[in-house]
Amino acid sequence: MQNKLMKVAFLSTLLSMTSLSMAFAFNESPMLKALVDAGKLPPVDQRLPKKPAVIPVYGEIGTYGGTLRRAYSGIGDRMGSTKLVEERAIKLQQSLDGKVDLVNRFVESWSANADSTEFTFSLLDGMKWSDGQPVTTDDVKFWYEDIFLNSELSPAPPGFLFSGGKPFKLDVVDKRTFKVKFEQPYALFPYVLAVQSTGWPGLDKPSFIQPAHYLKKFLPKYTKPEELDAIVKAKGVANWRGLWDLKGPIQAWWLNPDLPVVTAYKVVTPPPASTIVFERNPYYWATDKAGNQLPYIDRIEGKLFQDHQALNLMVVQGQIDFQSRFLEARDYPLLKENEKAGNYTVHPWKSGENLAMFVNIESKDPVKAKLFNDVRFREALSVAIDREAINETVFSGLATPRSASPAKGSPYYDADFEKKWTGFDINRANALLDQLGLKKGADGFRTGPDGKRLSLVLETVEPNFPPEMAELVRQGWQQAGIEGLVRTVDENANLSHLKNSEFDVSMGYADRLLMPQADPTLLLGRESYANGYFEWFNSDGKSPSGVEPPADHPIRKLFAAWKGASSAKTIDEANKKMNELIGVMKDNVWMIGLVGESVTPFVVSNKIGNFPDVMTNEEALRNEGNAIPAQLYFKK
Amino acid sequence: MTETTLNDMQDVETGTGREERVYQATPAQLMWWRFKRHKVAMLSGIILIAAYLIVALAEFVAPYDAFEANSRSTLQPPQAIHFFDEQGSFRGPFVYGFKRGRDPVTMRPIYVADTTKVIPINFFVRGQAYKFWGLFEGNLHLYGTTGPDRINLLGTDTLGRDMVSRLIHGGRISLSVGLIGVAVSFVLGITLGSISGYFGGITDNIVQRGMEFLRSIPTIPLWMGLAAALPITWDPLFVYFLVTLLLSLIGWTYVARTVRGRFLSIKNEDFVLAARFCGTSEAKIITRHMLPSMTSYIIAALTLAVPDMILGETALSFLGLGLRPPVVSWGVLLQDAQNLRTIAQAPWLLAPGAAIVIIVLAFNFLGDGLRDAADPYSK
Amino acid sequence: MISYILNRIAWAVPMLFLVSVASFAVIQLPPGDFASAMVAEMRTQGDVVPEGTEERIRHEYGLDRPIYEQYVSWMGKIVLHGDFGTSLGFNQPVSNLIWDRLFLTVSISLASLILTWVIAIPIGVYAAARQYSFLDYFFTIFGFIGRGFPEFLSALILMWFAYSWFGMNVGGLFSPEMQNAPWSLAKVIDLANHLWIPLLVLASSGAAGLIRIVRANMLDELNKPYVETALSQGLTEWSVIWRYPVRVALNPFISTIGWALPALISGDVITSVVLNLPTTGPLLLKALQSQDMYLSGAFILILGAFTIIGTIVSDILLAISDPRIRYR
Repeated sequence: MQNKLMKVAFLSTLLSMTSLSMAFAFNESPMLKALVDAGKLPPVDQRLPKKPAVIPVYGEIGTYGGTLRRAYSGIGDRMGSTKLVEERAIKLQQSLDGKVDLVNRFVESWSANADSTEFTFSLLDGMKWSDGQPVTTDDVKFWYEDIFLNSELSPAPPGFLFSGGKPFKLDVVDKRTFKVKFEQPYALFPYVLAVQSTGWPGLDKPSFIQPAHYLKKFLPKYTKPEELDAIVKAKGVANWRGLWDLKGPIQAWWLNPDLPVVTAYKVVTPPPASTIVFERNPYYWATDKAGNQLPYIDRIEGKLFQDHQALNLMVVQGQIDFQSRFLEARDYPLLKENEKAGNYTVHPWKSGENLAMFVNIESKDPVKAKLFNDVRFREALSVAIDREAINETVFSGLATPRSASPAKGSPYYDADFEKKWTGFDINRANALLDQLGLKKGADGFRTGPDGKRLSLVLETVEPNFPPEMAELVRQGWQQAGIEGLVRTVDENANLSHLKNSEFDVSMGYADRLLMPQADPTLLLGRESYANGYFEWFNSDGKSPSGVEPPADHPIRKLFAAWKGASSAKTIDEANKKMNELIGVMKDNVWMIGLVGESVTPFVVSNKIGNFPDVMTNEEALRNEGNAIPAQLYFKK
Repeated sequence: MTETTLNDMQDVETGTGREERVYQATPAQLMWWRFKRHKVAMLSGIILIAAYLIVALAEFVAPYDAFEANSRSTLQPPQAIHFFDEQGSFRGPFVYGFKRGRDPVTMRPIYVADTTKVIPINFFVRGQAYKFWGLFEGNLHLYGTTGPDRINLLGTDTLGRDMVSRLIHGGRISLSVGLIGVAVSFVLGITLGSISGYFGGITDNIVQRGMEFLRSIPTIPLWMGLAAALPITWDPLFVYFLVTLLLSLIGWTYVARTVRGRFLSIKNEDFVLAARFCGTSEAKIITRHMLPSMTSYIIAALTLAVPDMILGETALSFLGLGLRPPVVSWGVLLQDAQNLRTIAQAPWLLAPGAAIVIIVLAFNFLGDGLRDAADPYSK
Repeated sequence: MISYILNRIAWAVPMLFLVSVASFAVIQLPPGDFASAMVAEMRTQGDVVPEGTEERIRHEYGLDRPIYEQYVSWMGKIVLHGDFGTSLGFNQPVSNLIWDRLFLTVSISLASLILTWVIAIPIGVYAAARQYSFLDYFFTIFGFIGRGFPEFLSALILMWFAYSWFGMNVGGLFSPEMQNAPWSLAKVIDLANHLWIPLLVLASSGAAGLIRIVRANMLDELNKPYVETALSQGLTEWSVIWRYPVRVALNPFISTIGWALPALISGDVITSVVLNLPTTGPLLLKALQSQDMYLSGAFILILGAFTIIGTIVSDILLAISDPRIRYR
């Protein structure tokens, strides 16, 4: 059982170790070579670890140079740049055949003990920060003690590093090796780490390591108050905590050009500039299999845009080299038609996300709550929708009608679940609604048990969901005698409605369905169909905003399954529990899937080499990052 | 003073019989005669009457309702009306059926006219059922097809909805409720502007400061708050009316300020002073003597305000304040068209813009004609 | 006149106070606040936001204090220190953000404003003097075509045709390679090459309306007896027109000219958004939408001040252009 996990660990170690004998001469970009020759930079073999990580290339060995031109939407668009470059201890990597594996990044190896309570990681030997300082377990210790456990900086530390309600314990073995110890078995931890160690704490706070030598001076523990105050003043923030965190001018990687990083690129011109610039990290610790230090491309630029149409214009004019973020499936024909003029190719990546509707099973309206909790009613809502029409009209026929179920390629994929209730069958919908005693009146609309017209507010978010989609759902429901009132709101309002269960049915993305074991919160109802129940479960009934589900509510089975999976001793046991969880989802369908596997247009300049043609666009695979930008190159 | 008027003058004054009629005519008759000479204005009047007739009878004139979707005919281009088939024989008005396909590379829907498939356009056909003005049931349509094939003279949108039908149903709203806002904002603007300019002093100060205040308040948060506060169950038409009303309550300041500036400059002119010495009431001085001296301006500002009001709602629908089914307006139709894929690949969806241009031009020329006709100097 | 101006300036202070209070209140109208907006944005970005983040942000920025307290501390800093506060969204001083963009915004707006006048006033005057001529009809129809489509759409259409028919490089103000280059002659030329499309878009939408207004004002004036008197005294038509009616006809235009002042600062929001111009307009729009209250508050205050100043300027210009005007 456990040996499977070990095998994964071993395999991934192998991947990075199929490495280079030391006899090998390393190559570097001419841009860095010039600096070395000028004496401004140590030679490449002193900058690389003893055994650099090897990143596989998708095509051939590339050549150095060039600037990758992209677009970004403003200071809130942190992830657009982050997902391209972020690094972590271990990550999920998709291969060309679509399979997804755990691979090592800046650790040379890792292992787990028999009951999955202890994980040992070993950093790459001789790995350095972008300013040339070595990366050691001192940096791990600094992150653990001064950031993760610092309640001033992390009042709500990320839950995935907890088990049994307690944060993990760090045990530093030597300069390169450290152990992560959990209270309870946590077999899924490697997957959770690979997916959730991004973003928060992600690249801003890369998993386990932070540049202690640089960041210490921004903490009151290490710095005199007056010195810290001077820094705070100079940066124009309210207090020292303002220097930190996602938007902190010190800690946010893409706002602070001085912050040492371990990523392939570091920021040179930070936002909100109208063009942000990133330049290669001379100390990046990975090479291709021929020993060329990566990345191939020297610079990345992001040009500010404010509207999708402005971005489309940039694309068709050939001003974009690499972009899928913010491009929409419905623009596929437009982008494709201008390929020649813009000297680019639109690659049809498959989306791993599903468009879905959340049905509010915690509705405060007793009539609706009763209906929404009736599986027949949810089936009627689902089969009254013409998904083929949605596919034809909104996705140029490039998507697949499917339920909100695990994506193809997921360990929990279930072909039967995928197709459940996705056929268009008005008669069935009408029969089900008749069964429920909802009578159709002369005006074609049904009446609820309270004697009022059955009318549901369908909330949709501008600009995330094409309005045509909601309109088609409305028309389907109308045929079944349900009045749909389409309400367009912004993300802010939508999120607040989801959190407080103040909606009937909301459009939403059912994402993270490829590796649900790594982040199942959406499936469990968080900010979707049952936020109150989820909070009750997640806080062990302590959260004031939590709502306890009724004793016989099927969602309790869902929570029990996740509890089992998250404290499993082995991967096999965890997978068994996960399959149980998916089974509960399948029996109940609280999230009604619309279409999925749609095409995500990926615009890539014809000058770019090594771009993998068709891959999955998915959060867990870091979307654009799944193309491994470090190995892209400009053809000569 | 311009060539046209000089020619027209000669035109009227030839022939003694006519001359006599001119002397005996009432002012209304004179106006009508002068107006009739204004060919463009006449044409504009006819266009407007036709447009209002069409939208009044929308359910009957439009072959379908505004929402019936058809996923088999999405983004279909306009159909040309033919009278003679391939062989050259007369078949009455008809359109060719379309074969739908998809470009295998770009995935764009392609339509090829199928010349073997003649779809005759029939008049006064029984078709989709409707409730005329929400009151009487009916299914008679001005034109349509009798078979299963649909006819989309102006093409279809992304959901395969008939553009002619959407345009007509949208026009009903935009040309009625939409214009209430224009009226309100002009009444407000002219009234407050005149009072402010005519009386000056403290009155002027109060009105002007009020305007400054109104102009300084940001509107976007206002709309965002409103969008969240309005219950979704309210009649969309009423919500739309409310929105236009609010738009007009904010939009009157330009007119008011202009009228005021003008009044400040003419209030001491001879004709105003003369009227005042004769004891004419102030309301009468303003409406009968001062405002008429700026009719052209008012007409121009009015005709400029019409498209602004119709389109004003376009900008609001992204804040969630737009119309929702079963009501549609030209503003909503254009909102759906604001992207490159429409401009490049489905330009027929810009038709509502063309409709607005035609209606506004008609209003403009009609206004010019009426002004010329009413102006005793222009003859 | 001097006392009138002084009186108006004295009025400006309470007006500004009123505007600041009302704006601060209006900004709070949309549901939620910056904290909830930021969490929503992070979620859309794909972040897994830990529990309690929203409350933490709210507390951190003092958004959980009563609204009057927030107002007093905000206003206090502005009045006492000239400190407009920190933008919540950018985590940077508001003044940095605004000044950065102001130069470009004002230059573009000013250029387009002048272009608008240069196009619209002569055409308007001509169209009135030659009413119902071919060119008059031409400009009328042309003008209304511009007005019949939403600004955003007409800008988009213009750009699309500039690109697809004439192969022009549209969007933004600089070529990609010039974007972050230091200022040089080459960069100025590059700017000029890009500037004319936004200018044309901005000016043509403004000019369409202004032509109508100038033409109408001229028509109101040309019909007056004094024009015919002047003509009968042997003056040539154009010298009469330019000397008298035009001056009077510009009165309505001067009445609202002052309001161009705040518009200079905010720029044309919609057009800037689609043209991808880094002006202040989109910044304000974004700030309002994301409820970045100090950034939007500062903006609105500045715009309010300019509206008030603009009105005063307009009134002074009115009096200068037309000696008959008395404000009392």
